[in-house]
Amino acid sequence: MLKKSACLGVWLSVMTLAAAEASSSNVGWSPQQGHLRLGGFLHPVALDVDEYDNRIRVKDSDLDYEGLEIQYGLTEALHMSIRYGLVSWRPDSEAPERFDNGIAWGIGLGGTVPVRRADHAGIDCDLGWAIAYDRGQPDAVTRLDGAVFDAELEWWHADLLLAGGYDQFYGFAGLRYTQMDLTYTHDSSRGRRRGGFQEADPWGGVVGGGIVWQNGVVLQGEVPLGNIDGYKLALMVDIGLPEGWFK
Amino acid sequence: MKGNTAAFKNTLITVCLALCTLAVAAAQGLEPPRGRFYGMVERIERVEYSERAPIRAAYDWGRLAATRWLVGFGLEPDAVWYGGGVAGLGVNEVHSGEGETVDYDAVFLGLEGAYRRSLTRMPGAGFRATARFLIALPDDGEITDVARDSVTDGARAELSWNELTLGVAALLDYDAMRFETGLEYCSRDISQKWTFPDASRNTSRSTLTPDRDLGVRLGVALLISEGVEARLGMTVGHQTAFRGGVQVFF
Repeated sequence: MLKKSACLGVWLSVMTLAAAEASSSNVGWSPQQGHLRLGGFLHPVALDVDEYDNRIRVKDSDLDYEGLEIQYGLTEALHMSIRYGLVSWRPDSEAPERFDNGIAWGIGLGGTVPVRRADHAGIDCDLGWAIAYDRGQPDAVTRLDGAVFDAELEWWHADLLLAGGYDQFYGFAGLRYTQMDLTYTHDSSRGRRRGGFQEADPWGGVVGGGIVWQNGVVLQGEVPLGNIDGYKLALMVDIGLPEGWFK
Repeated sequence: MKGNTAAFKNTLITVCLALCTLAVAAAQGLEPPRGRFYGMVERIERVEYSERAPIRAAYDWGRLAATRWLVGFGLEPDAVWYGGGVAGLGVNEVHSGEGETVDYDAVFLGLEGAYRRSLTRMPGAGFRATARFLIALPDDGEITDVARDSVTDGARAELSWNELTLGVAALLDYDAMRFETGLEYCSRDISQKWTFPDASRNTSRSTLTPDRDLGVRLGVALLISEGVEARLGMTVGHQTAFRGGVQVFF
């Protein structure tokens, strides 16, 4: 862990300084300033988790998350996103209980710093970063013995990416740090009890790409690397807001 | 302690309002020497710890979390150095391996300093070293989730927490924003004391030592107007923590 943190910190610092002298433009990974992206997404994941009160490793705890997403380019180098949808959770792939669909929401912030700009036709390259927080409350589960279990899901991820764009296509790859708190609570004779699961390994990666059709429709996919299996697929409409609309 | 916390809270709010009024009125983004005032929310999502001398030897691990509402006030005598004080309120949370969660209302006090240099050959780029010492005044806890057995039923818990955080980061100014990436080291000294209702058991004191002390820091500051900036930051590694706030120069 110590070596990973040290290497990542030094690498990030070097990349930050390396981006200092590049000029500005856009790669499709991030909405342009004043542009609004609206659409839907599918985001199923399965990961190994540790039950932190018992120190038991559980394989393939799975979440299905889908909903609507809005992204907005605040400035040339900064964008925000909000998500609203449904999430369900099965703590253990071999367990019968599944917390069915409940409401979930998320917010995010991201940005780009240009690293390389092609003079004419060529590949633009950006250093990208993003932070996202999502939270969900699936339906309660009633066990056979009558005990009612409530669930609360909370997860963060932070990305540091290199993103490249060529014509209408773009791709990105980089590091992803994911923290998940998948918590359940229930009543007991002595009061409320809480337990839960956390990710077995927070460090991983992400790779993805997309296409911007006619400057108006964006299809983007990404696959996490490491402890998490799954994907995120998003289809969005990109709208350039008129001058004076939040610009 | 609860009375002290309430009195401190009222004093702190009064001082903050006075400083905010002065700072906002005077905010002109002056060149150093200048003052700096900020308000910040810091949320520590998770710090995993090992416990020495726990109540039950079989459960010697757990997780810490905290929410802090902090204000800082200090001076930049020149473009290189900064020194100031920090104060605030918050909640420290201890979730032990026994499944028990204890929340502690806390008052925070601290000192901080920074050293910043620009790179002459790379306009807009530089680095900064920071240090902050923060203590949470000891306070009684409230059990919000019970343990799997009754060992702490009716017991009184007290937590003491102090920490030293050192950081070094590269800075880059771009498009009205300043990006920050670097390393963060945090040394924490935390102890939890239980006093049991059964006089025959007396008290139990344990030390909670975080499993890791080195992490990565990411941050961005957005210049809202002359002399006022919004700040967002995140640390991963030794802890998962998020910070957000507004800073005013005057």
